[in-house]
Amino acid sequence: MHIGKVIGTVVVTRKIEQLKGAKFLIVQPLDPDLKLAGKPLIAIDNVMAGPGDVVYYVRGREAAHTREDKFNPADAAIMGIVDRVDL
Amino acid sequence: MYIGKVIGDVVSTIKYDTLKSYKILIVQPLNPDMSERGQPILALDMVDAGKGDVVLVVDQGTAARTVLAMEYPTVRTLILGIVDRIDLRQEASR
Repeated sequence: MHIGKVIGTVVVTRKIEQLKGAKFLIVQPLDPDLKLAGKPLIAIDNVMAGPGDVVYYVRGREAAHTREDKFNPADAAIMGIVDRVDL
Repeated sequence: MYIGKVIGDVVSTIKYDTLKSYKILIVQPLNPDMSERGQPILALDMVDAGKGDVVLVVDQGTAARTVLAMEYPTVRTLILGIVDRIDLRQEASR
């Protein structure tokens, strides 16, 4: 999993059936010291995160497993909201 | 997943069996602020998108497998949805 910051939302009304009801957030990847680290991506949200939240997210097939119907094409999913990072 | 803009389509009569019946669009990947990112890529269209649409794109083999319901898909880039609106709250790195 990786740390990132939610920097925005994407509204997608017309979409494939398997992602109906999904919330899409724009995540800016961060280093553990919270510096920018790479290009923003779109992730589905499972923890009611919102813009400004520092979160951690999983990439790859496992992201799809966070939805009730596991047979979906999500490749990034927010798994939690970070309260604090101690380094 | 990332967002991109449909900038064209590819017309192909002779194609591999598993790609038959799907429309192939050319997508320019975008940053959240709508600036271009990287090289255009060919994607299968799942939502009847068209030139000029901003779309949600996935580029992963196992994702294509779930949408196409094929055990052995031969494509990994799909258009999953059409973006209505992007609300960007903070500056992103490109």
